[in-house]
Amino acid sequence: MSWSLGETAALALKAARGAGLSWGMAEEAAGAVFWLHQRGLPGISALCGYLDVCGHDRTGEDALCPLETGSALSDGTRPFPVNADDQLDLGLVKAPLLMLPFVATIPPGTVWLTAQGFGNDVPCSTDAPPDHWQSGWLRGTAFCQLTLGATVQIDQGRASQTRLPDQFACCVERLTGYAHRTYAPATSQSRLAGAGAGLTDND
Amino acid sequence: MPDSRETQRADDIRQAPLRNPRTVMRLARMGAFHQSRLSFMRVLLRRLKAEGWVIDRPVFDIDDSGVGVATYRARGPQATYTLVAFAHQLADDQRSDRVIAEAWDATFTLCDGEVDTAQIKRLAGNVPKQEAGRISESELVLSRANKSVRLFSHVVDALAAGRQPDLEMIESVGYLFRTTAVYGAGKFGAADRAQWSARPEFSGSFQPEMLAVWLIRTFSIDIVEHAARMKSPATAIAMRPDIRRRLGIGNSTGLGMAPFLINHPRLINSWIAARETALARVRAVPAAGPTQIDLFRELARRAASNANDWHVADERQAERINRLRDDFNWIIESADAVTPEDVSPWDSLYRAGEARLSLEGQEALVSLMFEPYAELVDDLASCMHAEEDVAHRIDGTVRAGDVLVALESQYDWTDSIDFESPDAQARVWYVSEEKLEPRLGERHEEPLEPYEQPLCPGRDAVRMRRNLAEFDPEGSLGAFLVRHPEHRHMARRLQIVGKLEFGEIRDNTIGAGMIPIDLLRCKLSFFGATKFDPRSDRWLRITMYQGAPFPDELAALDPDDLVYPPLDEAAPAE
Repeated sequence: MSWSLGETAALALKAARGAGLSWGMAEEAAGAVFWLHQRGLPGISALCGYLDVCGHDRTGEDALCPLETGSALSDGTRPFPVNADDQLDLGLVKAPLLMLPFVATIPPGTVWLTAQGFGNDVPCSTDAPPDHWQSGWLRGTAFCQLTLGATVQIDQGRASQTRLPDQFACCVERLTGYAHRTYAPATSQSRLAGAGAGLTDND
Repeated sequence: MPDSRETQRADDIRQAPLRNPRTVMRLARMGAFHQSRLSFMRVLLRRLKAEGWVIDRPVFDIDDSGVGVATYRARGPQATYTLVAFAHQLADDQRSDRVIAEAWDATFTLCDGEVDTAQIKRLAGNVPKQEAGRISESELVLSRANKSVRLFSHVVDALAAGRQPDLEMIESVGYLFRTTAVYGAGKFGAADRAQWSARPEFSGSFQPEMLAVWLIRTFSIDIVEHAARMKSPATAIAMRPDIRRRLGIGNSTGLGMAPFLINHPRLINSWIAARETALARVRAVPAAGPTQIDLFRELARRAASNANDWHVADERQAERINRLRDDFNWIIESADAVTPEDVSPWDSLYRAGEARLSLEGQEALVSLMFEPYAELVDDLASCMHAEEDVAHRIDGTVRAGDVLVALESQYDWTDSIDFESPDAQARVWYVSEEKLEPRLGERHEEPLEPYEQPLCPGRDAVRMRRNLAEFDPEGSLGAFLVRHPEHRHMARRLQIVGKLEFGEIRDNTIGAGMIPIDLLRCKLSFFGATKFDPRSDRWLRITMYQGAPFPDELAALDPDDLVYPPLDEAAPAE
């Protein structure tokens, strides 16, 4: 069993809203998850990890939201590196993988996101093995930097995935739980007004 | 707007100015739209006919109680699609058109390519469960339908006895099955639109869904004829083709479809812009030839006859249909007065109609004016799509003062609405826990506000304007959104619709006076639905493909002509 990326993004939108984000920020979450999975990167795991801690900081550290920080970068309201030797510290960010789609939009398109604190820096190179992604980028909190690279960090040619594989079933379940918070309990009034209501269908 | 290829190709086509979005994008007018040459069912059948698609039925494994599976294979020049239809036995007490139903008379999926036994087996474990099952990227559409029990039984009895069914019965219902949902584009595991949108046969909008429904219609005839044969093998006959064509597929549509028009501003813009461009082209025709005038006169009479056969219980719609019948009298009289010597005859007719006709009549006239001008209209269908999946990046560097000016200009129609008054915010769009479907509640009577969906751009624009007016105009939009993250959705929307003439409905979508079925009718008219039959202010029944050719007659008949009933409607002798 697998999920379409469209329904994955729709689920991410509802889950982020259910976890308390504004609709506009929930749209950023959905766009980020879609972008990451198109490239075979585990965005839904990162979102699960972030939504679990976004309301309360279990680390006790004053870590940043990856979606707010990423949006400020892509909106153009936060400084970003413009020279090859610039290194911009973003500070401590939760689930930094979610920031990657925003960083990719920064002109000229070759800004790299790196995170310290997991032993070695974790660059998102295309040849990084899948396990590497699981190590800390998903649930952890890391000091992140931006640098100007010579090439794009995630090659556009990698954007060829069309499905969310079955291995993410438990993330789908967790996000479904968050999404559920956006649904209102049915009232008899609303039920009486839906399609097909109020007549026999044996006609 | 037409894409760049279209614009280049269309350079030589004369065009009158488009109608003003302030006139077009009002719910009352959108709720009066009719099917046209640009409707998706007509676009599909024109293409299938032009490309010589071949449809056959590789599997028909239905038992004598009407339970089993059938497949319908559509083969075109480059691709093959297969509808897999599961026929079930459903107790009358389980038959419900509600989206909350859990069992149906028949369930369907449209597959990409041929299907084999293993795929049918997999689908048999999922498709009958609909939302509770899962389909895969090999499938494009998931759907289900219930019988019109009354008409189905009548047709079975008649055919089994060797008689054709009663025409009045057929006309009064219009379908043997009605679908209660047609899901596509990635829903419940189906292939995302991006996987097939570049295929030429699916150029435009909703083409896989339209193909599925057309094939479901064929299944509805096959299954009723099968039931007649099972009942009386010695005497059963098939339905006569002209009677068969009077049967379409019914559909019950509720609020689930309503938010679509608000949530897809780029797509709606492409649909309406294509329609308005078609109108502008026809209005720019300098003189009408005798062939065009004759065709318009004939089709006006046939459309009028369609309006005469349009019966609904809903008082508001019944009143509108009465007025439409009067309007058709005027349209027919006016058409009879058009001559080849007239200068800009269609522009004159449109202007006169605008002053004289109801909204139903005006929009019926618009659709009718397209009919004689396939060469000006039909190619616009290829512009009726948009990539809504692409997340729009907000440009946060623009001056807050400039954003305020843009908001005031784009949403000036909200100036006449006092959103502080209870009536202006009487409704709440929300999603129900029961079946995860959009619903509309009463804000002041039910505790629904915490669950409100962002489906009221007018009110949200007013709220953002208020906060922007208090913000430093020299500051950036990005800085404003850091302080007011609640406006991020509206800021993105403004940047999207600011570039689209027809992307935003210029009406209050949460006001006490809003009529939700106006939203539904607009979308359904683009599908090509007819016989809109409101059952409340929130849901309606329609008919799809009534009159259209079946697969075995597509090569010989003109699907565009068959949209309107023939004038000699009297029943032919048996």
